[in-house]
Amino acid sequence: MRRETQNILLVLLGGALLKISLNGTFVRYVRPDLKPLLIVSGAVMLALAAVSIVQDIRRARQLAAAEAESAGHEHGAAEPVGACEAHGHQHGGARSAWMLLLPVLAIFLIAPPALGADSVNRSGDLTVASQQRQDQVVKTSFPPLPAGDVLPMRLADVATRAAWDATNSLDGRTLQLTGFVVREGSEVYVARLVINCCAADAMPVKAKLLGADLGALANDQWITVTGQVKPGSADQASNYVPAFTVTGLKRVDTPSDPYET
Amino acid sequence: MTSTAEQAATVHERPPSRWRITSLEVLCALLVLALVGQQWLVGVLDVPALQTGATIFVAVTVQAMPFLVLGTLISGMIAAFVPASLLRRVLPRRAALAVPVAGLAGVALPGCECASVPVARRLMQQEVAPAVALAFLLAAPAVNPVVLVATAVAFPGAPEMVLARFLGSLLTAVVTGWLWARFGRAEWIAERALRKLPQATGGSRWAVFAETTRHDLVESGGFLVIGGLTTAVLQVLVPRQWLETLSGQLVLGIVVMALLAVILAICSEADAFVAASLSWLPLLPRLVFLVVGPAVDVKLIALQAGTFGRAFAARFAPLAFVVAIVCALLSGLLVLGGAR
Repeated sequence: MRRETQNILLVLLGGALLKISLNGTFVRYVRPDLKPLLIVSGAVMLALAAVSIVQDIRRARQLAAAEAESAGHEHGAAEPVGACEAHGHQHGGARSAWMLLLPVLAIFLIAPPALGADSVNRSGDLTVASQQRQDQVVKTSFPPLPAGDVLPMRLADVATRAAWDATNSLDGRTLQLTGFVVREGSEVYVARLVINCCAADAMPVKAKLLGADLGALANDQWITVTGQVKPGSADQASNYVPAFTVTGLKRVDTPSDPYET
Repeated sequence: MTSTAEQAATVHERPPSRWRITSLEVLCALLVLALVGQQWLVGVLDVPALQTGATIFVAVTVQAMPFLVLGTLISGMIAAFVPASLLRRVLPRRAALAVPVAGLAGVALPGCECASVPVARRLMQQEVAPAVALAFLLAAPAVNPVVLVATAVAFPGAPEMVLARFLGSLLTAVVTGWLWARFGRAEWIAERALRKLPQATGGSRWAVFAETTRHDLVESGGFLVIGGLTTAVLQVLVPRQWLETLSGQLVLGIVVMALLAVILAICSEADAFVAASLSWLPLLPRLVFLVVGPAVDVKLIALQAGTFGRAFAARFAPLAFVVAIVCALLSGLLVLGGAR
């Protein structure tokens, strides 16, 4: 592959990184705190490509000047040193560089959405709470919840407390949960994905919805539900997925950070 | 410098005025095609499984890119500003002693495995014993701070993985180096790998820095994309329940993870995140994955065959593979205290 092509690919890739980090869509793929690193690495790519392009232009001018000057002489001697180095690097023919086009096209043309219902269904019975079985065999006492009529909570916290809290702090509390709809057969869940680093390590967390008209809800529709966790519902039989009795439901837009971290 | 003259000649052989199809035209054509076919492409990909795969692909690539940029920047700096003669001066004369020193030197020289191949080659050119350069080649991508920090970030619940990885990889490098010093033959390494290059001097150092960084980034970035693609395909195609059955079978899990490390060929700066995502496996098979990956994988074999010759790669890769598995298991038993 020619240097010019490599540089254009580098500009495209750096631009793609800058684009997703500046317009905020990068949270579909990675943790929010990676933003400064993404901006810096995008800028580095642009800078490296710019330096190389400027060098190429300068070298081409030198070459033209040298050729004009030494017409008839042996051209090998007139070759600027830099050109030898640069072309010497092309051995092994960086063919792998073509692959850089894939993320560029994926980001600019397709802009894949955040993971959703398909990913949750794909994980089978695996959820955040069921994963914790290995670490927390016995129930433990969780710190008390803050006071308030309606308490907004992370789904991961709700699932963990429902399964493992010895003080049953969720009982009788009205909670507000935000997540997307997952349909599995006749059951409807509100779900969220928890990520450690990037979407590749996403782990689902969900609660089964009870007692509301859920027929019209499609997969991946974001909703905010208010209601109460059914006491004792997150046990081994339910694979530690709590049931949630819904008293209020409204459709919402996708939140700015689709994952719980 | 016949090679330089030849290269200069080939540059001139290309008639600048005549129309030829180069990679530049191919790239432009691809971009135009992609733009024209965007609607069609988006329609084709509007299948949940493909969308999940596309998201995971972009996620792995985007997540690893800053680490790759950091690694190539540092390796470019070393190529430009740390003369190999300095390294040679600080190394002990005897290869048996120099091997562990070179292994530890890998700690200070961060880079991903693709970047450490040219550095090892440069060391050999400066008449460092091949076994010593190879110990460095194996250690540098696996035990440097960038990789260890990435490992710590990827395994927030198991900080002992960092130590286990460090020990396992260092041991792999030293043992392989010693084995090579005892049994290795000079003629296995291609003659072209040992030919001397002109030393960079003065003002051109910044140019060497920029060019090395750019070249490493473009090349290893491509390999990283291949790794991201493989991860995405595997995550979508292989049912999690099936991989979960590995959690009950330790030996099978270790063998599969060692092979997976070779096939996935993920950069050492990003592999910890992939290992972390395979959370249904015990720590020991995942440690094997982290120790084998930087030592031997398909892209590394290709790079080494290109740099040192096929005869070298055919012997070095299987050796490193076996040594890495054994050392990872030893370190796992020592630090993790078993399978976990």
